[in-house]
Amino acid sequence: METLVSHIERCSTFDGPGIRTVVFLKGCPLKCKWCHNPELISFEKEELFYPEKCIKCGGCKEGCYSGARVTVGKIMSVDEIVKEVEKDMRFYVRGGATISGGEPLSHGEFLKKLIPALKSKGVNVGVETSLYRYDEEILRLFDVIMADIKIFDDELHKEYVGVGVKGILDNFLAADKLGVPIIVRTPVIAGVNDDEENVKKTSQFAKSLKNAVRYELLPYHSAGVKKALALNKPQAIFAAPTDEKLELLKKYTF
Amino acid sequence: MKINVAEADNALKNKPLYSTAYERIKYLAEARHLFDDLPQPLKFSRTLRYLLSRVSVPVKEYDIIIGRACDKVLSESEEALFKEFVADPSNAYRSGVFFGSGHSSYDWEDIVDLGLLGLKSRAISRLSGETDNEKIVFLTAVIEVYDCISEYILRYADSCEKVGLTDAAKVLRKISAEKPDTFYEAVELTYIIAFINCSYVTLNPTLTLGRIDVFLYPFYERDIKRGILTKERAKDIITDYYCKHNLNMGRGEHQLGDENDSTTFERITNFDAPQYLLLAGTDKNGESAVNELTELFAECIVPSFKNPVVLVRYFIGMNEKHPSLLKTLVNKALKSSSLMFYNDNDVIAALMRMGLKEDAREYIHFGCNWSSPGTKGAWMHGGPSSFAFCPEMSEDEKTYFYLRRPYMRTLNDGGWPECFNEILFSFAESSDESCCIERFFDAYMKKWSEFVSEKLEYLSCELKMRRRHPSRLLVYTDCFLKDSINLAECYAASAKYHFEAQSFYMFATVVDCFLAVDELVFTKKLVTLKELAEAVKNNFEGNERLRQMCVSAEKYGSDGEKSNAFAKRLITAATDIVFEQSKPYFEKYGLYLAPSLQSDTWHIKCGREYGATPDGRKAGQPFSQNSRPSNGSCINGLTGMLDSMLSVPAGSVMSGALNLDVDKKAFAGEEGNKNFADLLAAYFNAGGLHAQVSCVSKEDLVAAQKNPEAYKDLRVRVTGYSGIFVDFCKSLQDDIIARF
Repeated sequence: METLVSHIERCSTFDGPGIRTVVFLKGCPLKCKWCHNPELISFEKEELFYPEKCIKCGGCKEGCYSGARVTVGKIMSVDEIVKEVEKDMRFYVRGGATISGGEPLSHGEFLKKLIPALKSKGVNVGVETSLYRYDEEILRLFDVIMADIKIFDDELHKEYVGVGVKGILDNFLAADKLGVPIIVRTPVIAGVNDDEENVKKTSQFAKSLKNAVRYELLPYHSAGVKKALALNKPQAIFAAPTDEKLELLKKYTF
Repeated sequence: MKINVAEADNALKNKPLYSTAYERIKYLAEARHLFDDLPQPLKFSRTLRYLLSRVSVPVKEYDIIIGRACDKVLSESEEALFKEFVADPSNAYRSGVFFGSGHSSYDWEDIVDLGLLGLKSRAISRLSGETDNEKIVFLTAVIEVYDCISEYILRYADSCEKVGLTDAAKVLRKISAEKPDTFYEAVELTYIIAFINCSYVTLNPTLTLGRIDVFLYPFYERDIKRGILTKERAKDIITDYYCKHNLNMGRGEHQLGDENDSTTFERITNFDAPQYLLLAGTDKNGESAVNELTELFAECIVPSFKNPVVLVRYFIGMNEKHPSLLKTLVNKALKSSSLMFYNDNDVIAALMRMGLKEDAREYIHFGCNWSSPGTKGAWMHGGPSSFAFCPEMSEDEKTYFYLRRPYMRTLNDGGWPECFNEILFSFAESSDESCCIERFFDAYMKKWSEFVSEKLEYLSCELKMRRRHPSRLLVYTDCFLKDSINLAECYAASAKYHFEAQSFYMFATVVDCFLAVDELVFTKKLVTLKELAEAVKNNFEGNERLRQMCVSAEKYGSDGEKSNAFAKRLITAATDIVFEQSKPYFEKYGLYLAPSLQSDTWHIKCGREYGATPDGRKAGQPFSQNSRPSNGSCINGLTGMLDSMLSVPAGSVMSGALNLDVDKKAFAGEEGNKNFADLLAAYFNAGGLHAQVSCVSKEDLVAAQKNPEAYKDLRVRVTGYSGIFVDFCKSLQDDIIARF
């Protein structure tokens, strides 16, 4: 079985406990205006073009070597991914693999094969999901679920993400019944969701979940802007919260 | 203790770059011709006495460890004397009175066991009945050295009494006459013997302070049992021991100084090269040698300090056996402390493969990054200064050695990528259609083998010359080596082991050159050998597309199957040759070449001078550094890089630094510490050779380059030592930034 993978990143320390290999699956149903990985929204292969790297050699058809034209998206099989993840087996003392995206749960059938294959090798498997979709059969297979509550207000969520938050919160409540540890996260964007009230409510909701082991704040970064430009789909630039603001909000994390 | 730490810290950051230990210059200038009629050993002991009986012996009321160097910025007239002294061939350093190119260690266990008095008694008893006049002179001078150190220590005792440091005064009076009994006394004795070397005797004080946790442990254990020492007091003693090593250190950039504003060996008389001490490791039975003192020395490391470099001998399973020690060390490493790890399992295996037996297990390390067998006085060749150890060379001999040395140095210092180009150009010229990567490999190994063979022959000739008159030369190191005293011969001639590193300089660049040629020319046939050779010769001018193709070829460090396999094949073949060819010399003379991947900072200097290479590197750009893959090649993260590095088989090389540059955000906080401990333990348990950590962010480095004043405390690892980033020359700064 195969699916469209954008890339696989080794030695991540930001995507779950321990040292992890992150498998980024391509395609996402949400449209977050600040998306960090805009090249992962489409379910198709895409080309990024960075004009500043172009050496104008005229050899585009034969292949670009300068890094100006980069194709995102590679069809990979379960075995190929497992082989890649296995490379860091010796380093996964408390870590493992994290399936990320895009929205991994959009690749449901594939995950039903991939997760058991990884687990059969003794790999701890986590997921980074928006929980916009819910699939109990898949979610219960994970060792840890990392999911966002981006904005607690339904209307505002709709405005910035394209869909309301209510369904997502319901999915959190459902996922909480699976007994899988949940890490709740909020990407913090200045002027959008960095007000204390939003974080406080999110934190309270997170605390109400039996299996929520942590609530984290992830400050906005502008990495998506350059990639969106390279896709010719320009993105609005947001700002990260100030250090002081972040410090203030941190009291709601656990 | 805060004031001691702050003082040392301030000295490291703010000591004027061009300050120097003026008293040393002044008194050595006075003593220049006083002892001209005497043989060198006595010239040495008398000059040392002249110096040590006159230099200041300053103390501060908060000192625990006693012994301070006195540097200052020179006045105009002092500067004139300094310059005249440095240029004068009859000065103590240039005329052969004081020899020393660093890179040595002493019998530390012996020193603390016997004390100065015991050392002297041994020399006296060795002297009795000796009839060889040269040996008599040698031993007499050794005894004079011990005496003048004792007198110097007593002068310090007087200073201590004047400021009310009665405990320290007692310690000094005791060790000036008797062997040390307490932990404090033993630490002070080792310190002051090292201090005299580093601040007065040698131009290059890269002295190794030995397995300090092992040889001091009996003193510590006894004091604790007797109730005369607490853990806290021991920590104060250790911390001040660290402080004083930093305080005495010059500030500057020694091997890094290849640009106009660099400082020099002469200027920094108590120089910016560090001393080295070893912790942990296995004992002679292969069991853990870790003890409570290991933990204390680790805990006391001050991250902002540069000196001494703490070298941890990791051994497989150390993470499980001593988790709290590893936690402490990782915590210090992630603060970019002057700390490095070597893997016992690799180094011991390589030394044993060379033919060493029990001494392999007692290995230590010479700065900057050279494994040395045992603590019993191995002699390491140190470039042209080796000649100084060959008294009375004939003109023919001088011609022979001076003619060959430049050739040796060229290939030693970085000619291995150039050597690849030579082969590329010659194959391209011959238009030989049967050419393939195997032919490249064979041609390369042939050159390597010829070089190794010539170098061994050369070094053995040099050794034979040194052995002609083994007692005519005395160096400070000899006074603290049991074998030198027993034989009454200089260790440069008579050490049990003699070695010089055979470093595969710029290893990753060479691997990448092979891979690019193989991929582009022989496998994908995207370009002919001739076209590639032409492009390389022309620095890829007008052919940027081809250069980008070269850059895009698989690189060592990416954890690709092909690059890993090739790196393994290349290093295995190269080191097999070194081991095999060294064997007869080892058996006959104890002489060998130590296979290494160390390049120090030559990768920048040589890179600047060399043309383009087929890996896509343009002329003037740095080569790869030490054992590390080329900058920009580690596209699969730290774990991918470490996996690549594990392609170098355990037991094939004896040294080679890996700068692990860690983004501080990636391993922040307690969770980050745990993750890093996992990473490091996994790498070493799988056979990784070495690691030293710089934990900074690229943004910090770039900002520091723009605003040096605000980043005086930003430390990064360089090769066997660390330094203040803003003190480095621009090209080294750029290279470090490119590592991220």
